[in-house]
Amino acid sequence: MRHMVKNIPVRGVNGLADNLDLELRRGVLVLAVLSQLQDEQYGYSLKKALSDDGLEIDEGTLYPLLRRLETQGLLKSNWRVEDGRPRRYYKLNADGERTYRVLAANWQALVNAMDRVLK
Amino acid sequence: MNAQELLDRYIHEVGRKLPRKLREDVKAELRSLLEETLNERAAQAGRAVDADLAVDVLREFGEPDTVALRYQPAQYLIGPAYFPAFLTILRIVFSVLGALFLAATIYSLIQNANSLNAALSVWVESMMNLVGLALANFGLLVVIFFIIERVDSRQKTESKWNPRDLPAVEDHDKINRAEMVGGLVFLIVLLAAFNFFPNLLSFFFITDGVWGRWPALTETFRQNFVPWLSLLWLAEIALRAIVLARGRWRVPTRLAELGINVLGLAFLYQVIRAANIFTPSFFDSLIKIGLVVVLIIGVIECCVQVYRLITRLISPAALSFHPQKR
Repeated sequence: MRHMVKNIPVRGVNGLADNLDLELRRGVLVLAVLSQLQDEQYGYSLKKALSDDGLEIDEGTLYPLLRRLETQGLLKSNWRVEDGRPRRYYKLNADGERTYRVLAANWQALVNAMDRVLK
Repeated sequence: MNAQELLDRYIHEVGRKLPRKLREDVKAELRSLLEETLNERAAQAGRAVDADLAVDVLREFGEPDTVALRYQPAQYLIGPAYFPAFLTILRIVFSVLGALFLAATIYSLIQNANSLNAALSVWVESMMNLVGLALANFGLLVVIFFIIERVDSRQKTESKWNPRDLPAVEDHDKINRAEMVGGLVFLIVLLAAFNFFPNLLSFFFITDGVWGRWPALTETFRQNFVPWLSLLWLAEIALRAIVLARGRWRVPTRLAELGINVLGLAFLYQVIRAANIFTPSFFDSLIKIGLVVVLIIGVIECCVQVYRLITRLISPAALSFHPQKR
């Protein structure tokens, strides 16, 4: 399941398919982000980490998502100056860790089920 | 314009649409991230940071409005939890307004039946008032629900509902035997009273220890209208007898019912406009007002009947197809 997932909306011939596709990825995105935040990351490094694994995410989608997850109480953050530049670093907090484990387990079950369903 | 200025403009624009709490912090974070992206992109492309590169990066990032929206949870005027209730109440309010519209129309017709011009101007004026009323009510409803949603933090919990508690499906065509028979008897009594025992319909009083009576109905009414009224009642009696025998309403009997109702309403209209029904005039005016209300309700009921008939006739069951022949 390691293929490129471009999040830039494509105004293709079938707009409906694009919409549904977007819906499909929206759920995956949160889990992907949580998985990388067991270690401390800031916006750009997170984007690179996901990109290295083959998951391309729109920056305009990713950065607001980080904020929202923090507001929802899954992440903790702080400002630090690295390389002469102020950066906001995010990491999973206790709630976030717990939520991540649950979601990751559910994901595996989901993938197995979908493999059978799509056969 | 150089890259820095483009960035500044973009960040400012996004900031405008952000809630105040987040604004400065998000703007700072965006600046840091966008600059880093820009520098990396420039390094990769092997050129200096310039305006064109900045345009590309910003384009990829997204429109300021869209991006700003993503920083906030979904915003509703009236959210999904309360919208159905809102719609239901809106429907109720607007049906009442619709009834008022009908009443106003009928009133202006009755009051100014002589001159179409006068009727029209009265109608237009009441319509304008009604439109204002409708808009005001709509706005009020929106405001009320806006407040309710934000004040009521209690989430709608899925309580254990009982399928047995669901109301029975209405079968409009089933008849209530007792009710039908009662109505039939009442009509026969009315018919007999008005035609054969008009003397009974009077006001009885005592003066000087002697019973006197004062006939209730005027002579004109009795001569001109009672025959027609009797005819209507006769038709209704016949219809009810048929339906009683059959056991339920069907389309032909429903149509007959509609016909009698329409005729009845026309008759009522004539009565209101023309004659004095009762001998005491103050009583008469009082009754007339009551009759106007009855007329309005009657028209509304007729419309409902017509609507029901039409939906019945064009329903998939009515347009039945024949099963495949083997």
